[in-house]
Amino acid sequence: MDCGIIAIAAKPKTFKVKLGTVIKESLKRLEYRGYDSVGFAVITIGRELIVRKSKGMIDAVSRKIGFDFFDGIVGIGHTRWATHGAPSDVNAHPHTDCEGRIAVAHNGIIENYLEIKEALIQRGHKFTSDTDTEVVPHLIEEFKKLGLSSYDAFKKAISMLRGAYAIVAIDIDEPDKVFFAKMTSPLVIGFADKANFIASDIPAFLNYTRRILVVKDGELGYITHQEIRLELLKEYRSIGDWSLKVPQTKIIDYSKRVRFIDWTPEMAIKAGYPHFMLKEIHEQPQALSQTLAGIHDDVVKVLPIVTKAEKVIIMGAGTSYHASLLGSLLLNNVGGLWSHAIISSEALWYMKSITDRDVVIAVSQSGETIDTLLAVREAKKRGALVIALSNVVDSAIPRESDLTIYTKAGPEIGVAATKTFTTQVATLSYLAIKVGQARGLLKESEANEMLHWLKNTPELVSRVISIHEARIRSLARRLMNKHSAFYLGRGIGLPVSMEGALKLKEVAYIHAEAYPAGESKHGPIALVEEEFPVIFTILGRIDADLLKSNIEEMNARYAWTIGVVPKNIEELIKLLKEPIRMPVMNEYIAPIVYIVPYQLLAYYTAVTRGYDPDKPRNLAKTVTVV
Amino acid sequence: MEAVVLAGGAGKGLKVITGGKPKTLIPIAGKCVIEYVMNVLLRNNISNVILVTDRPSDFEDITIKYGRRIKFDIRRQKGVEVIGAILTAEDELSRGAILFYGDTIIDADALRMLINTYLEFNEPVILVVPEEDVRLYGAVRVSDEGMVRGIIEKPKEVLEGYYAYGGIAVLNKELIELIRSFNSLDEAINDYVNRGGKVRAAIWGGLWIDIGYPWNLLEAIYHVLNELRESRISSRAKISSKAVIEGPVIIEDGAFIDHNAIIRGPAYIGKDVMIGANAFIRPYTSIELESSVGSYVELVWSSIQPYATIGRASFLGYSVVGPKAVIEPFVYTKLLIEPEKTGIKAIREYKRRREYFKIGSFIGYKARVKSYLTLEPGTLIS
Repeated sequence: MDCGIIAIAAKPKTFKVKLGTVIKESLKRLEYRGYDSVGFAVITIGRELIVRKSKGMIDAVSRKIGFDFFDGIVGIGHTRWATHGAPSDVNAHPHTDCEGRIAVAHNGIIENYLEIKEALIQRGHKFTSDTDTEVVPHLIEEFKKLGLSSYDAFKKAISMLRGAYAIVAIDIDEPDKVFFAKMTSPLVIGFADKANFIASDIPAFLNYTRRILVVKDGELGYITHQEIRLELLKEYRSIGDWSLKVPQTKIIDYSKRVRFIDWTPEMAIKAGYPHFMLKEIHEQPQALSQTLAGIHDDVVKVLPIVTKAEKVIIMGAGTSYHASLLGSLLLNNVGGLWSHAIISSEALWYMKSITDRDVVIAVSQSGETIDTLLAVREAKKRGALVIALSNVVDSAIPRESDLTIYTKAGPEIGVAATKTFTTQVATLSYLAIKVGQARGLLKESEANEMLHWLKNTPELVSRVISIHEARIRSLARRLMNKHSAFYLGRGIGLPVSMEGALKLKEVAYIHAEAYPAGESKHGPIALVEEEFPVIFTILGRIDADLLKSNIEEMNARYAWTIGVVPKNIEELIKLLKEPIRMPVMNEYIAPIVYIVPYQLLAYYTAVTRGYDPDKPRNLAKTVTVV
Repeated sequence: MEAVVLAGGAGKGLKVITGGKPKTLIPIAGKCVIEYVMNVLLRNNISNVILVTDRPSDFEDITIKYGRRIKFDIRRQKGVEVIGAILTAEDELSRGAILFYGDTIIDADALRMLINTYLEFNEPVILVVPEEDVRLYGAVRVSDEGMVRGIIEKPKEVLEGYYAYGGIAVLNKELIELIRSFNSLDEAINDYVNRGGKVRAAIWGGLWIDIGYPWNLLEAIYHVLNELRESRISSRAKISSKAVIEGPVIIEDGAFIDHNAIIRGPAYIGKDVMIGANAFIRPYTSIELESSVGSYVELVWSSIQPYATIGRASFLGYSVVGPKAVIEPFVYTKLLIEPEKTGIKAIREYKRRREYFKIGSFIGYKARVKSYLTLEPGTLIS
């Protein structure tokens, strides 16, 4: 399950507002993780457990569930992306035990919940929801009934769970504590003055603290407003063990693992923009500058290994896959290395031919994408060296990889990836140029020319945004009434088209298909009729001559031809009905700049159609479900 | 927060249509432009409004209508133009009141975004809109970091890379003082940012219409009527059983629709409007208070202002008819134009793989158009 959780233990009157309001604000920053339902639970100073929850997005139900009315010493909150059980009020978290004394919020999937549920029903427990989570409070309740203390009962309950989970729980008998446990799903602790936090992601508490601790798999513990206890669970129990034996744990000294986060909370809010997506499109020049500034040191670490690799497999999902495709094309063309890009969820079918002479590059913005993570594990089993390319420090994929390159795009909150795509491509381009140099395939002058253009991408992206934003907004007004669109390109331009089509699909809900332009007459062209939008990616002389006939084919069928085209290719500008004139630049580096009009087109089409591009239906930012 | 709404004068571009009444009082689908502004303010929980106008008595109806929900402070404008209006409320604007041009039609979300930006940074903010042709609005240059770099109040040419000034802002004391000393909004902002002052740009790409010219009324009708999801027909309207009403339509009290009239929504038929037999009212037409439409008249995408009369068998499309204007029988508007040759602003349409530019005629306040005239696109009759 891809959900956001937050838990707070605070000394009374630490915050200027009520605890419920703090939970609401934190949840809003986690809403990108899922927004089917929200809920929270607090233990009040009068030792009462209050649980409020509802189907819907936070802003829509905020008044109904009344975050702002409840204060307390500890509280937990949850925003849900449904997997087990439909989005509904009943299935919203937190869940409670039979007596309403324990409340639990959970992110992940408990695989053996059906067996646990059956065993608990036999012992007289009553379940109200269809979720896997609900077994946890009942399990704790059962062990407490048998005679264990709250914390021991929590440990024993956790030891019986199998699957992926990040769990927070509060219990009225220990009103100052929030218990937590983690396996696979992310969990981070934040240390503040007179209050401590636990959340699925850092932005949730960035307003209150920047001192954080990443919880690792198998760890559990509790927080109070002044104490944090962290233990590693050493034994797992099977269902049916109703003895009072508490599973063994090892206390962990976490002091060396505490880190300081240097993002400002401003970076996590949508200052001056109506949506995160537009903000993140506009932030690309800075994200690229920051990434390029620190790129050399990161790439130097991996360069000797990549240069000597027999083949380089690049894996990613969604937008990261498109960055992977560009990476592999550049390694083949510029680096002279046999490289192939694979969709993470399909990667297992290619693993048999991977050996210890190969390098795998795993591309994932969040570093938590489960498909990519599973593929990384498999590749490591086969002996390949794994390099992670991620935007989130210390996330799962970097932790499990041999080496890591970080893009420094800053937090990306819009579900549709924008600035992380351009920074990923910039990083892979730099790597390919360096590999080409190291292998002697690229002349010094060629390499310098490409590095020069790469260095200029922040300036070029900035210019493209300011020059074309208005034009694209008016194009979007016409595209909004279409049901379908083609994005065509060749070679390096094809992944750009694929990414453009994905953006239009995911935020504007218009069916879009990307296809190699040369292949279009072998099938897809059958769909083209009058006014059918066909969008071409033209990067330069490299593909212009071949694309010319493709544009003519489409014009002959009265298609509405749009093109992202260098401004010096006059003959194509004349052919296209809607040319978007782009700066003339090195074709290998052009994708970083030429994707920007597509991002804006998808954004404005979504907005013109009345959709919220930050929260596309059925999608979550970080996909941690296979 | 409080808002200073500049409800101003007639405006050059619309003077012929309004006959000198404030353009913020032009009705669009039964509601004046300023009412759309008030609704945006109310949706953002702003209930203190300083209304600056040179004709306070014209706004009595509005203050009565909103009096229960909004606390009004109506001020007679000192000085001329926008600067005079801004300085009329300089105390409020110095302490961070929202400056809102009363002729701006916009989504409530745009104002929410502007307020949030202001509250987060506590720095002046102005709304900017990505518009292709900034000549009619004022051009704002924005840096990568979302800061205003400069503003040109009346650009003479199409400027690439500039945004249109959105007519909504939060200023501060220093800026107000500069506005007073320069007697100009753009020079004040340019001076402020050149000396290192920070002004944020809030970029808004959704609905935004600045009502300055007759064709803006047509754009506004399109957006307002597109929001209709269902028909609302008053039980006090008298509609022939042989009239045909399709699609979402609003028909107000006292309207009379005669035999065989066809009304194809989205459309608005105002209070006490008369539609004659066999008339054909096509989409995006808004007929305001007490107008009368003769038999066999055809109307498409037009704004018929209050008390206007359209004589029998006339055809009007993409047109605005001012209050109390009279169109005699058999008047036709021509629509198709080539804007690049004529320089007239028109509405773009795509049909049958061709791009068409269409615009009708603009008939002024109390104007009279003689029978059997054929009006060329873009004609303005006063």
